[in-house]
Amino acid sequence: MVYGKIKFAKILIVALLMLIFVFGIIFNKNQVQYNLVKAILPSSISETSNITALSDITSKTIHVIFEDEDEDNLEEIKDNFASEIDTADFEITEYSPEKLLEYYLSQSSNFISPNTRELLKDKDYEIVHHQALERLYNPGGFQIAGVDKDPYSFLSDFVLSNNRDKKSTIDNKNYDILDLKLRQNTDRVKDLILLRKNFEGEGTKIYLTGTPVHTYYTSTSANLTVNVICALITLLIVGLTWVYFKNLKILLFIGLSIIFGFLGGFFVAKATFLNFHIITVLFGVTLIGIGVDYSIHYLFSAERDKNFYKNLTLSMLSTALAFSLLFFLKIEVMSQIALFTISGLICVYLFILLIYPCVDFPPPQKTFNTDLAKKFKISVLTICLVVTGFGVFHHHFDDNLSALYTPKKELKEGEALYLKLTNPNDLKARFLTVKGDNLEDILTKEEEISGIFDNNMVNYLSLSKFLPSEKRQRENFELVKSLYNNDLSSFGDILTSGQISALKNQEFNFKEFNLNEAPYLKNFVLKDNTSFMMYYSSDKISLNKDFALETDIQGDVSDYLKHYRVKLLKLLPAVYFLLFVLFFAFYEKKRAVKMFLPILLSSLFTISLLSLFFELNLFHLLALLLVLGFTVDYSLFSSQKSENTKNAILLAGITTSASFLLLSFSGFALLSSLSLTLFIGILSSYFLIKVFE
Amino acid sequence: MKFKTACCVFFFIAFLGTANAQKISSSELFNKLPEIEDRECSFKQEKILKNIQKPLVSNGNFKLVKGEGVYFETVYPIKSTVSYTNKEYKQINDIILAVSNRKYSRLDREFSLDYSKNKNVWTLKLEPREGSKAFKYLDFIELTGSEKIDKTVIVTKDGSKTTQWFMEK
Repeated sequence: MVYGKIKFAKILIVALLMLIFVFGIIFNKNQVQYNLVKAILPSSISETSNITALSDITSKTIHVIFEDEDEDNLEEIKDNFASEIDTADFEITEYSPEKLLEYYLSQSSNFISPNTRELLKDKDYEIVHHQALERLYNPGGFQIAGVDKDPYSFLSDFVLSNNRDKKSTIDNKNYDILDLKLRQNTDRVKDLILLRKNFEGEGTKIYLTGTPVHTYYTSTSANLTVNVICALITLLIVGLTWVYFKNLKILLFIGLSIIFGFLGGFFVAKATFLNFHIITVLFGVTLIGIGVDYSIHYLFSAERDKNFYKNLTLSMLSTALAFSLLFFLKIEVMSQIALFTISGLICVYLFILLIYPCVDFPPPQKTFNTDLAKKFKISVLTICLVVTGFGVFHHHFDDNLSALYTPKKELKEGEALYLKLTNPNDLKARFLTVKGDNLEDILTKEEEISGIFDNNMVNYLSLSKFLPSEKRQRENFELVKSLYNNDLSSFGDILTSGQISALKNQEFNFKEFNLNEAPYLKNFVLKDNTSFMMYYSSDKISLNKDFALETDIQGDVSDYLKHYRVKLLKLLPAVYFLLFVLFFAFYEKKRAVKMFLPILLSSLFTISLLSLFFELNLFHLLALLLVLGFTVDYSLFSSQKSENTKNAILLAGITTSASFLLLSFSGFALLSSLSLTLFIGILSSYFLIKVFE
Repeated sequence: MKFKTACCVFFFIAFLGTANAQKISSSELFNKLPEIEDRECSFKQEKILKNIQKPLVSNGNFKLVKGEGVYFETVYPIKSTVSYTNKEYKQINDIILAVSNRKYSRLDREFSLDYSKNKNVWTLKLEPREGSKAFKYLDFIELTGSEKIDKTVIVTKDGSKTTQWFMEK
């Protein structure tokens, strides 16, 4: 009677938790995010640095490149394509002088091109006068403000100096670019892809580039990867369980334990982190392979005594401990993976502890002899030592961020074309963030930097180029007024004396511009009164301004990755030493050595084998820590001599390593690095444990 | 006047190598217009701009090189040469090259064409279509010629009028 109540209470607890997880996940509106930079940047830096703000801008920008052999057709296609874009999903952020013209016209004497400004500062009025006449008599010249308001056509000259024509011709093919900003949902990129198909035809090609396009393709393929991996792992588990138990009830409970673990992990991680990264979701799939281990150990164990539960608890703790090391890196995606996996494992563990004892499971119908032949053991050890000998000194590290993501060939082509079109001199595009108290302060500081760029003949783009500060507009006005007082009378045959007098006596007029009216300009503004400037230069320009910070997303993130990789490399020997001390403390010397050697050797073998074929990164080393968690787990259980336990370890090894093998085919280099290391590590440690058994 | 309008204007300057009022399509039109050839001649220009005392009159030499672009060498009242061949005036040059190569689809899209002929002298009036890029800024363009274009008139919405006469040397 009491046992029945306890049994009911246990089932009730699990059922209630399951309901909480399901509803918690459904009602949690935190979105899945795809920004790779945000995912791998240490949280302390991502909160304060401009890298994330800049990467936020780039993560929403899409460039549509139109390619056509016929230039007339190109313009028509671009216009029609733009007219069919749903502006609720995409904002067209092309530079359009029309939107600024009204503003310019309201204070037309405040805007002069950089060249004219220099001439006016030097009082080269003769040259300025001649250039004005050239503009007036130019058959193609045009006066934006009207001759009576701007006789020197300074405003036309200023607008022309900012002309951002993106048309170009390469190898007899004509190109034009349409810039878009994604408003919200990355899924809407699908509409652009469909639209592209409608417009492409003979001689016409359209490339979509920019982070949202990469994100869309990545998420689509990630969804497919998740489904394929889930299906294959499930099939593997079903097949293996059937071979051993020939019982459907077992499959049902293994399935339930994994679902419970998955929901628990998902619930906790999603509730903890504002943005849940797609990489965490992908890695979460491996919980199927990891979580099934505990069920296997339970089902194979003949006696579920205190010792068994102690080993099961130690096994769970050792894996959780290995994953908890990821928290110390303070890299968001690693913390998410750690929390997801640890919560998931605890849930699976709880499910087994609470539910499994309430059910009668049949013992395994079959066991296999898992002992290795002596020759095989020698071969394993020889291969391990030879590979380690060759590989351990062969290692190279690649900490570059770009090494963590390999885009599809088509996307790669698009990006290369965009660079070729926008940066034909192949100079490095550099970003500079400028911090100020308000918009006026930002613009003034940008103008200070622009002066340095102009002196160094560096091509740049900035907000102040299109929207001069009030200070600069006042200076310009004074320069123009000084010119009028010295030279305007020479326009006496064109203008009336009244017009000349009105121009000479005009007062400075300034009004603020609402950036919301020009999306192209608004794009230059980051968070917290910070803007960005972009300049093209092979070398970094020395500015020595405390308000300006050169921000190189790829370079800076790569530096952080290197910093953490070096730190981890120094930490790893200490972790192994600590483990060695622990084994010596808890077990007799011979056994401690027998348990420790396979772990050490498998880690060396794994890293050496990878070194022979790949350049290593932070995530290979991180995976080594996780391998430790699994191999300690196998070492603990291998102390039991029964055939059932040996088969349980074999089965657990197969399911876990198979999960990681499948995940190593993922398109994210970060995940494949992690998974491949885990696969090799777990497999090699299994065989090495058998060698030293 | 908008920069794009300036480009449209120069579309017609490119006809200089070589048009009973009727609406006509660009494909019909260009069967009637002479082939575009290289040309060197003199030009005279009169710009009547809004709110100025008297027209801006200038003259000089004009040159069209097929497949390359056009050159205006103003000799009076200032000395100045403008060539629509380089990247700075890419939009204009692109249109000139497009006309040289007889790619006229842009015309039908942007303008309604009125063609008339009196004896040997033809006149082609181009009015921007409503909704076209030039509509807001450009009133009309008129080209007059016989074997080659002799005169162009460009009238913008702000009332400015630019007339160019092309004469053999």
